[in-house]
Amino acid sequence: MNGSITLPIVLRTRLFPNKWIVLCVLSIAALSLLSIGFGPAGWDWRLAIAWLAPEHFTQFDPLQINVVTQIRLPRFMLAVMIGLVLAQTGTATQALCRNPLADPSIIGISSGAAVIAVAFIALGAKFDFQADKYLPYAAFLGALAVTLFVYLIAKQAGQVNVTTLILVGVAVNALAFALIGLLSFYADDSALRLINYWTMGSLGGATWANLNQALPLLLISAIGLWYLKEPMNCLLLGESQAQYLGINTQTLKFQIILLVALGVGASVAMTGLIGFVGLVVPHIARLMVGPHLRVMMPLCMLLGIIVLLLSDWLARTLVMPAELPIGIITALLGAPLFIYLILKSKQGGAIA
Amino acid sequence: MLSFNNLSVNYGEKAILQDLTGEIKAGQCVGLIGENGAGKSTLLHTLAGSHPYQGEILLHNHPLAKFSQAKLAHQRAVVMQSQQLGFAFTVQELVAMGRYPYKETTQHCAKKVAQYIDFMELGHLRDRRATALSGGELQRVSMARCLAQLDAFSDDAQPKLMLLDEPTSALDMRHQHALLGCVNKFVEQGNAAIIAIHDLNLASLYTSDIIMLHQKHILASGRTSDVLTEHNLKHIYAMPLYVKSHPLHDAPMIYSQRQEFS
Repeated sequence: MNGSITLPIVLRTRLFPNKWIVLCVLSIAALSLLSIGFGPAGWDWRLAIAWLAPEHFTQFDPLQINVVTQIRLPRFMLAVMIGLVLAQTGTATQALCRNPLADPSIIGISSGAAVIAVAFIALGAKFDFQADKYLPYAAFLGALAVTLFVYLIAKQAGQVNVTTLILVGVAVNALAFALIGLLSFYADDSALRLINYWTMGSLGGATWANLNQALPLLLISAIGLWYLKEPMNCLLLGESQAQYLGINTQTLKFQIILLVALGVGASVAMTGLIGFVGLVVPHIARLMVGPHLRVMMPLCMLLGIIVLLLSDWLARTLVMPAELPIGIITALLGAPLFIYLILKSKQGGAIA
Repeated sequence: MLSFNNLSVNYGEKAILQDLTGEIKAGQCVGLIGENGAGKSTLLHTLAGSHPYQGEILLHNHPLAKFSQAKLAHQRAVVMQSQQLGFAFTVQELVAMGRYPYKETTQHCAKKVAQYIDFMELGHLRDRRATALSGGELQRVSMARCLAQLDAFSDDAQPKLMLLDEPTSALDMRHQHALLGCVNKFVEQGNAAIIAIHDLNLASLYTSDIIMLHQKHILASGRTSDVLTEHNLKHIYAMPLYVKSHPLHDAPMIYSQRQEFS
């Protein structure tokens, strides 16, 4: 305990891991050329810029330009937003549960949204009302309803119990998948195809119109969680410790839950269930720069964008001109990686 | 600085603390002792403002319940019982979180962080990850964060309160004494500290006053040497104990006797 106070002035922490951020931004730039330029309707990187000034790119058919502006661009925008939101809601859920293995699909938020959506598809065909028109809203309300349900059950004597939260989530997931199974049993063939699309995820439904519907919700979630990153960081130390650092933890947890439900509900409404992104991307980000959210969250958001852009591009080009559900790609990439991370953590190194 | 009157705490139906009254003044280092389950931790965390209670707690003559968490964070800090962290923060990051209550520049924060990391002799560990620290090292990091939160060695006139829950349990003897010496230094500057502690001899050497809890009530409280008597100790621990005087300090030392099981 000596009292010497001669020290470097700047905190020598990894405050700005510039190299990772720069690398991610470059990758996103390259991937945007790839995902806008290359597809079944045209295979040329110049397509990615041709729509900006079609008169200079006379080699392309106006139809191809149209495909780019009306299909690939909204799809690109959607992939960027969904990637960002999935990674961020995953990070936020992990902070909320103080467990690096948590994820919105674990608390049952995503599957809650999906089950309501599937119900709309299956029953919509039976009772002959326009299911797809209300689908996004239904999924969003499903997410919100499940989140509030789980939150209220987990809230005992004014405190949110995280263990209960996770356990109730497990039960909600089981129930949701049983209901989805039951509903697909009663669904007709075209509804079944839609249900399949919903449970495995796809960005194929992207249009400017429905992008405009979901964008405000996705943006509120993304911006809200961005501003909560410092208090969420303290929450990682434990709830009491966060409270002793001056954080109203009840309010904070409620804000996180609401913003996560917004983000997850809106993204499930747009794309169905896309697994492993919310779980694996934050892990990779932590491995690169550590768990401090001031540094980790921006990197995590960029990585989420990269993963979604790449997976979506693979999903629609691997079996051209048909399309794979993106959930298959993310699960194929994510699940082995996740098992590897768990094995690595068992060998003594911490996963987080 | 901190007083409580007719304080009771319940978990649901179960009473944990009943009808406690006491006062902690600036310049006092108060030890909280008692058998397992006597309510030491509960009292500590209630006084820190994280448990609902009946009765009255006054901090600087204002009801504790009236303080917002943000305001309380400037007045008091808590060193929690040693626990493993699931997230691999570096030592610097952990200490820097103590500066969360203050809206300040990164440079100012960094200066404070460096100051208290050095003070706790953690300089060589500053970039070490929490997952690679021993329990004792984590405990000292918590202490450094707590000192940074209160800016313990600034010239701030406002007396501050530090609450410590079993701060020495994970430490070796040298670091036990170093940590409690540091608490004493903090108190000497006109602040106050409350330490829940099992080690009676450490309590005897480093506390000025003792609150002795026994079965949800205060059995005795007052000057350390007045409270640590054979009579009181036998009453709470239900075993033979002997109190002698320390060869160097004016402090009671407690000796126990070997138990034989037949």
